[in-house]
Order: sequence, then structure tokens, then C-alpha cells
Amino acid sequence: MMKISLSAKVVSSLVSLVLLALVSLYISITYHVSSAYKNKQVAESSAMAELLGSMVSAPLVFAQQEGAEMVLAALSTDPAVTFAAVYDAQNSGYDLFASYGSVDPDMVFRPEASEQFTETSLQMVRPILLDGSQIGWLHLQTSLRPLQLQLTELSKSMALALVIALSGAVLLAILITRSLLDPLLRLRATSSKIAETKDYSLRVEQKSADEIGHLVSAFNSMLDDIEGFVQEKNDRQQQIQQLNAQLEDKVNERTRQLESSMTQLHATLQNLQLAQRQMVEQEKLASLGSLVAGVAHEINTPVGVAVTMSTTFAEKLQQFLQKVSAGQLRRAELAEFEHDSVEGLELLQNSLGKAARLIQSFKKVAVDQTSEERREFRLDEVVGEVMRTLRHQLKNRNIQYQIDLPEDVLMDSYPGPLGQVIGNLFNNAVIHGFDGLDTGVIQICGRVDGQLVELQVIDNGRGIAQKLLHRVFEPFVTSKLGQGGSGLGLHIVHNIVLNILGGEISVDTQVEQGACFVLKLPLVAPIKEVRSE
Amino acid sequence: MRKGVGVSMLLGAFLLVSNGAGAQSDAGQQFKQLQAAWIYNIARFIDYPPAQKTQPLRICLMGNDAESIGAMLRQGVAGRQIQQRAIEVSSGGNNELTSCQLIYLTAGASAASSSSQQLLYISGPDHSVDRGSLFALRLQGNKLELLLNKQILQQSDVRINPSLLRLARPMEGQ
Repeated sequence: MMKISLSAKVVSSLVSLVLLALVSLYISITYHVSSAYKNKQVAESSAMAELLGSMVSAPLVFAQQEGAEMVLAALSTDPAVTFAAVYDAQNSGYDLFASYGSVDPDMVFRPEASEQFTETSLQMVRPILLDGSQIGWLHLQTSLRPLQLQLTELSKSMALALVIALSGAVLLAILITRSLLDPLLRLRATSSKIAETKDYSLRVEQKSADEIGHLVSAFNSMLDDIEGFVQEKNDRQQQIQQLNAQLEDKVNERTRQLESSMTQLHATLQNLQLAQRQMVEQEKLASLGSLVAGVAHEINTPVGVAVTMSTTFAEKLQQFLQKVSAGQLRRAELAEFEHDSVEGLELLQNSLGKAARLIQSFKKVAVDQTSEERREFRLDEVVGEVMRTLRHQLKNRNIQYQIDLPEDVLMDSYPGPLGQVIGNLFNNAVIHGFDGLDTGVIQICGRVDGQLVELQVIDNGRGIAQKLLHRVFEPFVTSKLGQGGSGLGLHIVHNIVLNILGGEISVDTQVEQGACFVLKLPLVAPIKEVRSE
Repeated sequence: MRKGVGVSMLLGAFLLVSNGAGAQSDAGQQFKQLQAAWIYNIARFIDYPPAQKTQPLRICLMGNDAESIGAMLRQGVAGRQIQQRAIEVSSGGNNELTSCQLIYLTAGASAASSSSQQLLYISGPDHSVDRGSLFALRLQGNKLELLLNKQILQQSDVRINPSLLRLARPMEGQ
């Protein structure tokens, strides 16, 4: 970018403007003066040619050359006319008849009406008419010297005017520049100082009320605004910093609270998990308790019979021995004692054998349910043994259970968890399905479908409420909340079926019409790590 | 410059269309032709009253040479017009002067006597200078010159082209 000062720009602009204006004026005046002069000269020469033509018509017609020359000689009074000639055109062609002065060397007369400007003269040719007929030609040459002198004088005047105007322009430019530059320099100095010190309270002194004064006023107003903006910006920054600090404190406080809450939640979760495990264990213990109760109930009868028989036999044996000692024993009494002894022993053996078998069966169930051992087993046997441990719960209630399972279903799975599943579903039906009911039927049926066995545990009890149905396998969901129900029974069933037995479970129920739990179990359970809930 | 050939120029211009008239070669005939040309040309420089402009321009010749000059003039103006008026040439003795606009007097013609201010009399070279004529032709050396009677000009209603007036010399005593 060219570094030109404002004063130089103003001076050069004004000088250029004046120069341009004067040159344009000079050209315009010159053109108009020349044009006007030439038009005037054409008009005057035309009038003169007409007059001369009229004056020389008679000498021309009467061939009085002296007369024509005398007329032309009168032109000497007009210094502008430098040449005039009369040509006779009454015969064929044209002949020079009379002349005055000297024609320009380069000028060649042509017999046609015309006016032509050369550098120094106007060449005009006009016909000489008499009574409408052409009798000759008049060639008139008038000098442009007056015009040239006039233009020369005009040029001198314009040159003088140019000098005066340029001087005035320079002087004016200097004055304008000073009047403009002084406030501008003050503006620049103030701007530089503000840029350097960032002190927006500085102002420029306003010394005039003109446009420059308005500029200074506008600059000061702008500084007012900037100062206000800067102050507002600083205030807001301070507020933002305070808010940031407060926010940071709040965030730290909330973080601490969250960390504390997380710790508490974690502890609570651990407690819950522990409680859940404890409840699962309690559920298992409860199941075992039920098993023990069943065992006690089942072996009570044969053992009672055995005790009764042994007591009765002991009394009879004592009476027999007393009679033997007293020698009062009779043959018939010996035979009766022998007969009673044999029957009693048979009855005793039968009762004790029955009790032994029951214990063996219960032992297997107990071992299965506590060891979660995987082995091959017959489905109907495991289900039957489990049901035997549970049927005592139906005592004094008119609730029947029916097992309808094919006999040849051999599974390689976990009989203990399966028994727990059957037991939980049975207990669920007895406790919840037949709550408040004295009659009912529980059916356990099944069928083999390829590599799966489908078991159905069906009751015709109260069914499951619709609001609980979609959550029935979730933990702590029970219709006996606060009445002894843990809400873990079906949850445990669901976990055992999915995670241990590798099957799936679903339920179909209608309120007051019963429920049907459907288990689809693989005949060969997947090998998995057994997890106990 | 072609000084000295003015007569032939004048005749040449006048006889350019006067077929046959140029056959006359002797000096008397040429002088009469010259007079006829002067008569025609003088008539061209006269501005006639508007009332006459719808009528033919009637030129009457009187005197001894009226017939011969009139014949030459008649031949010379044949087919020509002056100020868009046809030209009639009368050279008989029974001229009705009042119907003439220009009257040329040759030798033997009586002096101009009409009191009409619209009649223009021209005295020929052979006619004695008549004080009633507006113009008079006189032989000066071998050239004809035109004399002007200013008194008649001042009294006449006929307007003469200034160029012709400038060419004419005043009559003696004026």
C-alpha cells in the first residue's frame, strides 16, 4: 500500500480537480468560441458572398471587368477578406473574370457551392445568380487570423487563471488539510494511547461543531459505549468466576454426596445380596425341614407299629417266661405264643423294613437336594420320591395329587435341583393356589419331545393375579407379603431351571381357574457350574 | 484577365441560344446584335411593378433600326424568360407604347414623351440623347457604355438593380 499523507492527497486532489476543471473549461470555451466564430464567419461570408454576387452580376453580365474589380477592390476595407474571385459561368465551363487578393497556395477552386475551413482560412464558393439563373461563381477567402488571435488571448487568460486557481487550490488544500488533520491527529493519538493503555476513559477534545466535530463526538460516544461494554464485560467475568467457583464447590459437594451415596448403596446392595443368599439358604432349610417333617410323618406309622408290636411282644414274652418259670405253661399256650411270636415278628419286620425303605428313599432325596449331584435317574422315580416327602402337607385337606409320567424317561441331570423345583411348585400350589380352599387337584404330567421332556405342574386353585404375572419369577414377589411368604420360591425355580437344568419355564394362568407351570428340560442337562441361590 | 474581349463575351452569352443570328458577320450587324444583347440584359436587372408580373414582358423598339435589332432580339430571347415572364419583342411602327414595359429608341425615333412613370426608355447609341430616357447607350471607343438619367430614375416607379446602377455612368450634367 502506498504511503501517501492525507495532506498530499488533499492537495493533489484539489490541484487535479482545479486543473481538470480549468482544462475542461478551456477546451469547452475554445470549442464554443471556435464554433461560434466559424458559424459567424460562415454567416458573414455567406452574406458577403451574396452581396458581392449581386454587385458583380451586372459587370459580369455586361462583361465589365473593371466594374467587377472595382467591386472586389472595395473588400480591402475588410482585413478578414484575403481573397475574392469572380468566375464567369455564362458560357460552358467557368473562366476567371475578376479577382482580389491572393489565394492560399494549396487552394484549388472547384465550381460547386461549398464552405471549407483550412487551418488559416475559410474557403467559400457560392453561385452568382441573376433572375434564378447562374451566371458565375464567387470564391471568397476569409482569414481565421482573428480567431487565432482570439484563441491566443483566451489561452493567455486561461493560463493566468490556471496559475491563480492552482495557487488558490494549493492554499485552500493546505488550510483544509490543517483543519482536517488537527482533529484527526488528535483522534489518532487518543486511539493509540487507548490501544496501548487500554484506558477507555480517555476522550478527544471537541473544538468545532462541524463534521469533524461530529466525528470527534461520535468517537467519544463510541468510547463511552466501549467503556460501558468493557466494564460490563469485567463485571460479568467476575460474576462468572464467582459462579464457577460456587459451581465447583457445589460439584465437589455433590460428588462427595454421590460417593457417600454410592458407598451406602454398595453396602446396601451387599447386604441385600447377603440377605438374599440367607433367604435362599433359609428357603433350602425350609425345604429340608419340610422333608424332615415328611420323613417323620411317613416313618411314624411303621415305626409306631414296630414299637407297638415290640411292646406287645415283650409283654407276651414276659407272661410266657413267668408261666415257664412257674411251670404252668401249657402246650396250647406255647403254640399260641409261638404263633403270635411269628406273626409279631413278621409284622415287626415288615414295619421296620418299610421304615428302612422310607428312610433309604428320604435319604436319597435329601442327598440329592443337598449335594446337587449330577447323575442318571428315572424321572418318575425322582418325582414320586419327592412327592412322598411332600404329601403329608395335604393331611386334613381334601387336596389330591396325581402323577402321570411315562416310566421310561431316563435323564442325565440334577435330581436334587429338579426335586426342589417340583417341591417349590407343589408348595406354591398348596400355599398360594389353594389358599382358603379345602379341595383341589394337583397334577404332575409330562411327555418327551425329542431331546426335551415337558413337565407340567397344574393346579385348579385361585390362579395368579394379572398384576403379578409378568413379575412372578422376580425375587420377593409374593401374594403373601408380610404373611410368611418370602417371595423367593418361584425365583429359585426360575434360576434352577435356567442355570442348572438348562431348560425354560413359563406359566399360564386364569384367575380363580388355576395355574399351569410348563417346564421344558433337556434330557441331558448342559454341563455348567452349579450355582445355588 | 481577359480584358478586351468583353464584347465577344457579351455576345457569346446572348447568342448562345440565338440560333442563326451569329451568321451575320459584318460590323453593322454585330453592333446591332450587341445592342440587342444590351437590351435583353438591361431588362434582366429591372424589377417590374407587381401588377405587371402576370403579363409577358413586352419590349418595344422604335426608330430606323427597330426591325433589324428587334429581329435579332426576338431571336436572342426565344425560349427565355425574365423573372418568370415570357418576353415579347415588338418592333413595328404601330406600337402601343402603353403596353410596353421597356422601349428602345433607335435613330429616327421620336423622343420619349410618355408621361407614364412605369415606362422605361432606353436611347440607343444612334439616338440622340433623350432627356426622357432612363438609360442611354453610347459608344465609347469600341465599347458601349451605359448612361443613367438620375432625374428620370427619381421620378420613375421602376426599380433598377443596384448592380446595374453601379455600372451606369450619370448622363452629362448630372
